[in-house]
Amino acid sequence: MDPARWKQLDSLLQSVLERPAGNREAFLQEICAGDEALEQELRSLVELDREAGPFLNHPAIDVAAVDLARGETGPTPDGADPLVG
Amino acid sequence: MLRAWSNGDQRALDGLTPIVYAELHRLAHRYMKRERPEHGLQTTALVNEAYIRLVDYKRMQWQNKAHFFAVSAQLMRRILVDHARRHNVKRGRGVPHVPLDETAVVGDHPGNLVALDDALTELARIDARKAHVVELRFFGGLSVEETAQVLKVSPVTVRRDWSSARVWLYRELIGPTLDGPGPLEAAR
Repeated sequence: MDPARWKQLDSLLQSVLERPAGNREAFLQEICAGDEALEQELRSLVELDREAGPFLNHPAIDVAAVDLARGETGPTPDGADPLVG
Repeated sequence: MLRAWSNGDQRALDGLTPIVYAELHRLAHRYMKRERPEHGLQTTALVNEAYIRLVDYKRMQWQNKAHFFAVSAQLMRRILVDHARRHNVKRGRGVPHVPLDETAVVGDHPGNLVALDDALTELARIDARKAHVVELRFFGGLSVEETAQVLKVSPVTVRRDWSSARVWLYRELIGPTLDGPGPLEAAR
């Protein structure tokens, strides 16, 4: 991605994320001012922020340790993540 | 901050690697026994403390504590990613495949840690400070406040950088290409 484009998206993303969830859509449309491509990409980033959930919430050493454990035991029978619970 | 590896860095890497490996295996053992995991940030802090006791400050030529944490996070990244890469090779094929979208959410697949490392390198190219924030927090286990001290920015900036970087990396990991079809479309 072009750094200038990312800088713009980053700044807009932060301004949207600072709004309460209920006000985001209207604000997003307002700041994109009819630029549909920008609006679509920004909306997708806001959606990804929600979708990402616990992504990166656990430090890398935990991620590596869980994998090491799974390598020895295979996936847990109930599919539960050992990190959660 | 990301300078070339010096002799001091090599010594630091040699010193830190066994500590990280011991801690990694101890943690993995706990998971295998299905023990309730301790918080990973404590683990990383523990590694850092053991490391501080081990290293000779004068020989290492640390400029200050912030510099120590910055180098330590870089070393952790290198050690853990190298470990994940080797672990991948050793396990080879026949390892149950975990769907990509799931692993991206949980972030617990070795391919994922390697892919994350690649994505982080790419992020550093377009936004170096955000990549540093992720390196210090995710690999180095630093808090928002500690990260802010190392990078000499406000905690608010660290929080913002972190949330944007997280979205950027997540998109990079689940999407086919950054400028190709969006990840949401690709996942459907």
